Amino acid sequence: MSAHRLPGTLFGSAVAALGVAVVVASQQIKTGFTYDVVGPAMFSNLIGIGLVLSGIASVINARRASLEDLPDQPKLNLWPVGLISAALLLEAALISRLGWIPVVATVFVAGTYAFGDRRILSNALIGLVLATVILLVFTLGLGIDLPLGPLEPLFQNDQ
Amino acid sequence: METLTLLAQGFAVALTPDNLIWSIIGVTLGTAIGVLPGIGPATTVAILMPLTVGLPPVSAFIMFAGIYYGAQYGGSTTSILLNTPGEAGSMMTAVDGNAMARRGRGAQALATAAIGSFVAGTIGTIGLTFAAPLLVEIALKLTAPDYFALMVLSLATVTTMLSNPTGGGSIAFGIASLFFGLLLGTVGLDPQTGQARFAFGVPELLDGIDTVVVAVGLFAIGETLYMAATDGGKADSMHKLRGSFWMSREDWSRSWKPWLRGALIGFPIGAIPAGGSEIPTVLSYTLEKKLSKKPEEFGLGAIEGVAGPEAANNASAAGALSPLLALGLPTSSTAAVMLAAFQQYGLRPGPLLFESNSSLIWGLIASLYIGNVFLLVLNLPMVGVWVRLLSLPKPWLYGGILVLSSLGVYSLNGNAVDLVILWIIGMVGFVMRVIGVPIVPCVLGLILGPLIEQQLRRSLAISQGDWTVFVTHPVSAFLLLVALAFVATPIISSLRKPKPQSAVGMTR
Repeated sequence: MSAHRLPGTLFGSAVAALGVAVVVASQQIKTGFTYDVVGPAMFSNLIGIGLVLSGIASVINARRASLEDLPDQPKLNLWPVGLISAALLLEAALISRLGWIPVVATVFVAGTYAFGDRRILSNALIGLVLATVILLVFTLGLGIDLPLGPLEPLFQNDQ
Repeated sequence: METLTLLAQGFAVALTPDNLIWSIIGVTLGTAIGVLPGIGPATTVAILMPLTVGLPPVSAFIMFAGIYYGAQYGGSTTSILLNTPGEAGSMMTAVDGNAMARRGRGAQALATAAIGSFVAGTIGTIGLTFAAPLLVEIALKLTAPDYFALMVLSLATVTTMLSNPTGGGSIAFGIASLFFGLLLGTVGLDPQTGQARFAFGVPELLDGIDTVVVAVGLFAIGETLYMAATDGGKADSMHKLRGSFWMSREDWSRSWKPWLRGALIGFPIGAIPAGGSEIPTVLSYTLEKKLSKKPEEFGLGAIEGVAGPEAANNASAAGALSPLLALGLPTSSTAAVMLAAFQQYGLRPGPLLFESNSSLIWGLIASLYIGNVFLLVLNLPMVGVWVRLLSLPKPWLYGGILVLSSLGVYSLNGNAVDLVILWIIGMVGFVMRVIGVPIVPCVLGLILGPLIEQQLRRSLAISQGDWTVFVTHPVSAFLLLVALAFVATPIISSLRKPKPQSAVGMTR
C-alpha cells in the first residue's frame, strides 16, 4: 500500500470501528417510557450505523484514489505537538493545586517554544504578566472565579 | 410598516450607552481576530460564551454579532498584506488583493475592501430586516417532521459543499466528520428520558460535552497543533503600505458594481446552508472575472477581484443571521456557535422569540446597522493600527491562543476535566486537519444533533412510531429528497468516473 493511501485508510477504519463500538454501547442504554415511542437508543444506533458506512466509504475512497488525486502530505514535525500536549495536560493536572497564574504561564512558554521562540525567561515573564492581568480582570472585574492556588489567603485578607 | 416600527424600537435598545459600548467592543475584537490568523469568529464567540453569562442577553448578542461582522472586515487586511487569509471567507481576496499590494496599491485594496464591506454589510442588514419576518411567517407553518427534514437538509448541504472533491477522501470524510459531531452531541443525559448515554460513569460527562470545548478544541487547539507541526515559527513577509492612500476615480468606477453584485450574491447564499462565506466569495470572484472587460488582469491585481468577494462575505454574514434568528437554523459555524449561546441563556431562536423577546431580536438587528458604521471608521482611517497587529510574532500569537482557549474552557465549570477533554478534541482536530477532513460539519452536527433528535422523536411520537410520517408530509418529503440528491450526486459521479474531477476546487 502506498504511503499516500495510508492516512485515509487508517482514518476510515478508525471511524468504522468507532461506529461498531457505538452500536454495541447503544444496547446498554435503557429504553424510555411508553410515550417515547422510539427511546433514547434509536438515535445513537443511527449514528453508529452512519459512522460505520462513512468509515467504509472513506477506506474505499482512499484505496481507489489515484496518486495524483491525493494531496501531498505536509512534512510533520511532531515534537511541538508533544510539547503543547504535555503543557495542556500538566495544566489540567495542576490548575486547582497551583492556581491559574503559574500553569497558564507554563502553557504560554511551551506554546512559544513549540513555535521556535527560545527566549524562555522573557516569555515566562510575559506569560506571568498575561496570566495575572487576565486573573485580575476576570476575578475582580467580571466575577469569574479562576483558581488562585497558594495566593488564596492573600485575596481573602483583602475582602 | 410594522417592521419599521419594530426596527425603531430596536434602535432605542441598541443606542443605549451600554449597548453601544458592547457593540464597539464586539466590532473591535472582531476586526482584531479577523486580522489575526489562527483564531476566527466561531472560536472567539465560543471562548467568550462562558465569560458573558453575567451580561444581559441583548448586550452579549450585540457583541457576538459585532464579532461576526468585524471578522469579515478584518480578514481582508491579512489577505491583502500577507497573502495568508485571516479568515476562510477572505481566501479569494488574497489573490488580487495581495497582487495589488505587491504593485504598491495595498492602500486602495484595503479601501475598496472596507467600503465594499460597509455597502454590502448594510444592504445585507436591510435584507435581514425584511427577510427575517417573512421567514418567521414560514416557520409558523412548519411541523415537527418539516423541521427535522430542514435540519437534515442543512447538514447535508453544508457537508457536501465543504467536502474537498479532490482530496481523495471527498464526501465520505465530510459525512464521517458530521456523524462524529452528532455522536458528541448525544453524550450525557438524554433530555427526553433522563437516561445516560456514553457517559461511562464519568459524572462530568453526564451534562454532555460542551459546545465551547468542542469548538475551541477543534478550531483553536487543532489549528495551533497543526501550525506548530508544519511551519512552526516561520515569519510571513509583509507588504508595506506606500503611495497614495486614496482611491482614484477609476478605482471607484470599477468598484461600485462589484460591491452591489457581491451583496446580491452573498446575502441569499449566506442564508441557505452552504457552509458560510467561502462559496459566495468564490462565486463573486468568478462572476467579476467573467463580466470584466479586462479578465487578463485578474490574478495580477484587478480591483474588482477584491471589491466583489469582500462585499460578498459581509453580506453572507447578514444572510446567515436570517435563518438563525427566524428558524433557529445555523448555516455557518459562527451562526452555530451563536445558536449554542442562545441556548446558554435558555433562549430558543425562532418565531416564538420574535413574539416573546422582540426587543432582543430587533435590538440585535439595529446594532448591526450601527456596527457597520463603527467598522467603516475602524477599517478606513484606523487601518494602520490593524496593520501593526499583523507584525505580532507567531510564537506569541499561538501562545496567546492557548492561554485564551484555557480561559474559555476552564471558566465554563471551573473543572479540570474539561481541559483534558479539550486536549483530546484538539488532537482529534489536529488529525482531521492533517488528513483533510472538514471540521465545520462536526461542529454543526454537535449543535444541531440534539435538536434533530428531538424533532425526530417528536414526529414519531405524533405518528405513533410510523416512519412514513416524513414522506407523507409534502414539505418534509421534498426537503429530504433534496438532501438525498445533494449527498448522492457526488457519490454517484465519483463511482462512474474512475478519477473524480475537481468540481468546485474548494478545500475544506
